[in-house]
Amino acid sequence: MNHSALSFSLTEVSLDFDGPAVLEGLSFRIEPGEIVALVGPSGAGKTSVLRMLNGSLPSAEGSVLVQDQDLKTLPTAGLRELRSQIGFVPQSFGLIPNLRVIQNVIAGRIARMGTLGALRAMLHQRAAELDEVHELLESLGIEEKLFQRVDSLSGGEQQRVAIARALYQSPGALLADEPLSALDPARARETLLILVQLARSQGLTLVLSLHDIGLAREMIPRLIGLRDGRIQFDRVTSEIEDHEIEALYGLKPSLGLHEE
Amino acid sequence: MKNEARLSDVHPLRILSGRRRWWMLGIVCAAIWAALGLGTSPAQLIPSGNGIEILEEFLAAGLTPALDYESQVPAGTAPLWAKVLDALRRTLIFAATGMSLALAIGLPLGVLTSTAWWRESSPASSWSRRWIGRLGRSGAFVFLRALIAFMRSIHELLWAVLLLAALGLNSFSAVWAIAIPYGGTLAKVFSEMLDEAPRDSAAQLHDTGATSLQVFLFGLMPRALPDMAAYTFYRLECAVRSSAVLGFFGFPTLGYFVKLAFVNQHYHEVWSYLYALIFVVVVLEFVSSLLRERVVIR
Repeated sequence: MNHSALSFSLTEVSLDFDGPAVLEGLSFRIEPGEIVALVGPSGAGKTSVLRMLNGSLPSAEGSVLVQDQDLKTLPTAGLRELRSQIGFVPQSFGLIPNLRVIQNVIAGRIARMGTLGALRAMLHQRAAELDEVHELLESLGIEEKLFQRVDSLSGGEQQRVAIARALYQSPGALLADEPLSALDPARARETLLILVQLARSQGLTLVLSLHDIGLAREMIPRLIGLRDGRIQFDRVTSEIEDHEIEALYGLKPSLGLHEE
Repeated sequence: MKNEARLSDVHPLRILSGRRRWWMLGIVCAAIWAALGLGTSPAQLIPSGNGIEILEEFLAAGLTPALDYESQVPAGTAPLWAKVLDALRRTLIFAATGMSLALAIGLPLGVLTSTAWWRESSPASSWSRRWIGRLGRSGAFVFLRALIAFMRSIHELLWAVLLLAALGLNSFSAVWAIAIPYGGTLAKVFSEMLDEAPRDSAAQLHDTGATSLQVFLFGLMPRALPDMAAYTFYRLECAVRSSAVLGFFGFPTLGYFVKLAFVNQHYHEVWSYLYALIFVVVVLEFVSSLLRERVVIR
């Protein structure tokens, strides 16, 4: 049922929203099944990169390739098909607050159903579907919320519903924008561990943006450091040194405190 | 000193300063002008002749609504309460049928006249098709908007007059007299609710590769549905009142009997019918607030 893992590659990508550049000359490649975190200060362009990877934000210059297909030249149907293989967990969750958890998770897969089939699934879930969603929620520790309305859940629970929805999509790649932001430290650690283990066991590509640099260095094998829309480093985590991290987040790099 | 604007002068919400002052003055002048043009004098507020007695008698009758006919009726006539209930039943039937029809018209028209619907539908791939599609879409959009504006800008009583002339005094004309303007109003309000609904869940669904129709149905509609349901219930309340008033044109609803009783100066009977109407409106209000609590608040 799962899609095969996806590869992403960016070549000289730039972006501006009719103002100063948001991204400048970005190039990197993510292999199928790789686990990568985007790190860097707020406003560095992490969200923009993630939204480019699933084609919801077109680049001004350069090319974005998913599975070696150029998103710019892909027809609408092809783009839709590709998107159905990419799970996305946005920062604001994008859940439907007045529907139940079960319906929100089911919504993750409706792109692969007809409209009538989707209507059936939203209104009347089959026993097998209920079991599958329940199991998924169990792995995230919120199975008792299955039939609750989303707007009655806490922020952290909603975040995990959004993750469950993306996973229910059985994607070949999971993109997550700050998927731990609403969780307490213990839950954040646990959830990241679950995501990494899931990605490993199912062999899916995992790209996430993280603000907790400690967790990122501990659990994610490759980090891409972004600052002001440029890549500062892109390496295996164990090779990244403390002063590089400090420079990434430093308030005044122009002072050159950490420059060698 | 001269160039420095004081904060009180540039404050955007001060009603009595700046340009707003002239708007306010203009509105007051328009009201005075209209009142003078009407040629009324406060003296007309005081009932003349035996008007005061009629008013007194009518209001006093409100304390003692009739439980039986106020005048002799032929033997074998159904009791008054049965007649009231029957009128009430017909009033509700007209309202419910008219409203069902209005919903069947208003829901699709509401979807088709929302900008959200046309935004979600994906453009064709080729350049020429895209332009033909764009022209066709904006044409359909303007036509449907004009259609619902026409439907709702004519009041239901006016529709009743038109349909009476066209179809005669039958149930169809009463039902359509409610269904047409109510359908237009529902369409207008539904389209606004769909356009104002939050779009984050729709955007998210779009990102999973869902089709435009799916995005609209499962990402946007659920956000607007609770408000739409609550508004529909409110309109049902209005439809019951409209249905009752249609009786004044001869349809066998509450209004018809109110009119008859009023003409015959059976004021106590008038109140029996009015209380029946008030009762139904209160019950509907209660039901709709229950519904609103369930679907809107949670």
